[in-house]
Amino acid sequence: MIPSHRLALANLWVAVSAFTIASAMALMQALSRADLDLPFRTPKMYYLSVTAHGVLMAIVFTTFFIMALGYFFTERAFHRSIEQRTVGWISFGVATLGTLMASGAILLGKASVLYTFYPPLKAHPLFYIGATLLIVGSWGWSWVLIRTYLVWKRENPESRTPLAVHGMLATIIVWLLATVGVAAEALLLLIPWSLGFTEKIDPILARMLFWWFGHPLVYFWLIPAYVIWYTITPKVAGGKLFSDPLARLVFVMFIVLSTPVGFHHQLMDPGVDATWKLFHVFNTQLIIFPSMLTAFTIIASFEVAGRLKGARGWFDWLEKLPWGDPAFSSVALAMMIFAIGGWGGAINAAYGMNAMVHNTAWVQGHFHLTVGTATALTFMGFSYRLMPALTGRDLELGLLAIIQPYLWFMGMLLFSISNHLTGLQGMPRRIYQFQYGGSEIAQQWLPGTGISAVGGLFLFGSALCFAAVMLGTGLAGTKRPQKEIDFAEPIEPPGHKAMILDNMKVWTAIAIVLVIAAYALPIIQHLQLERFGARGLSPF
Amino acid sequence: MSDDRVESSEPVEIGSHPKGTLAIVAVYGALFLLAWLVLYFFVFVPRGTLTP
Repeated sequence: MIPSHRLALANLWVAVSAFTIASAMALMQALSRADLDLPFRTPKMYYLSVTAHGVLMAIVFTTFFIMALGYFFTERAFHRSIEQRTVGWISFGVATLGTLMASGAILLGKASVLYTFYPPLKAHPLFYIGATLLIVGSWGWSWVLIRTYLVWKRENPESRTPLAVHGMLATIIVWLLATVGVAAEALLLLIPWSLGFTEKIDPILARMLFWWFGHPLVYFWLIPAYVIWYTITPKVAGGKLFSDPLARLVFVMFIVLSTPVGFHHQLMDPGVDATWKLFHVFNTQLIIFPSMLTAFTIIASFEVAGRLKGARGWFDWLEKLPWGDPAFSSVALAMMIFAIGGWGGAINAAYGMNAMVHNTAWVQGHFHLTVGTATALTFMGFSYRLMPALTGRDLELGLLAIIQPYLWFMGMLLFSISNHLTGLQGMPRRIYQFQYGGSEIAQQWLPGTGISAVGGLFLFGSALCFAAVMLGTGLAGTKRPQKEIDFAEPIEPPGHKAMILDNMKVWTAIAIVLVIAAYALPIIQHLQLERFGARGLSPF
Repeated sequence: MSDDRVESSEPVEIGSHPKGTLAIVAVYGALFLLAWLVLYFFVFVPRGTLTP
């Protein structure tokens, strides 16, 4: 095994471990929401499991998987080892230490503050310090990849940046811009407050800084999934990428538009002027466009694959696609689910209609379609290629790998559609006991929560399949040289077309201007208001 | 597990208009808009806005 593969593999193992623990926590929640009389079912256990599931799945699993992917793709695309591997290992150690601190605090019941850690809910300082270390570790990873890119660029000044690296650079730029917000929240507000240096905290300011980070976090999850869709899946399908410049345009649009969007999560909040909310809503609606472009380009790439295999009609190419290969089916099914998620997102981010679904079960239904499927299912499907490539072992339990994406698809349809519907009926999210003394309205939600629980069982079964395949392959797969993972070729090489799309300095500068425009004045305006602050609460 | 074989011996014009894709994307776009408007007119508007 080459040394940087060891680094990518270490990151992948942390991701798989976090995913497995988080899945068990999810089962607890799904059954609990169905009001089943489970052993250990208490409010404290419920909120602990909600927090652990959110943090381990949405932050730890995704971040470590993306770091593994970044190392692997960069090395494959450049045909060289990464620079400053030692920094990569130190960063991995810092991020892992932070993860252990934060998840330890959660599992000990000292940090049931949910994945958004909104104050005045207050956690043990270990949680905030651990989460900060995870972010710091990811900055080290970002540096390693940027440094590797710069060295390659110096040696290859005339070469086009490989598409996979272009996408990973976009991921890193979005991440660095986003994490400024959460770093400010942690260092200036949460950590001093949790350590007792300050008595009160400003919840609105904390929420503004959290959502500076929280929504671009969505694109930090999504862009690497798109990198897989653009650079791997067309090849897996047996075809070619329909358009390389369109893919680059998509990544650039994410760099520019990902961050100035956070206030669409705060449309019900006081303390933010309506003008700024509208500005963020406008940017959020714009960012639907690159996902539409992606849907077109990837489906067209699938059509190319089908036509190369002999299809001639309008839709017969669909039959020619490799539906039995989980590296393909996971992406195709993820795209179908994401089509619904995109529609729901356009409702969440509509200024008026947000009130209809705000803080209801609709929201958890929505983000399980996006991060929970478009991203997570793509990552799982690619893991069936990545784990053998990194370990040099055969994929084991292949049948489980084949059925796993379909189980996830079924489970997520049941889970998410039922949550969308109960959300529209007014069922709140993140509530342990929602019977409200047997009120008539609450009774209407019960069929939906039951279907949601059945979906949760499907999802848990799928997660167990994934964990079993990963453990079986990584620990017990037959060792032998594995087939290289090749990138998809575009139908037409990009040549020197639209070279401006490769100029990350320009797009980063535009993005920084937009972030300042979106956040500087609202924060200044907020700081000029009379603020009272809040003392901490730790109810569970 | 992937199938990279090219089964047809006829020349394939892979850079031509992807008619199936255009149809799928058009249908999706129409459904997207229709479902959004259904929710707007039949759920959101009857409930009324937060402020009169």
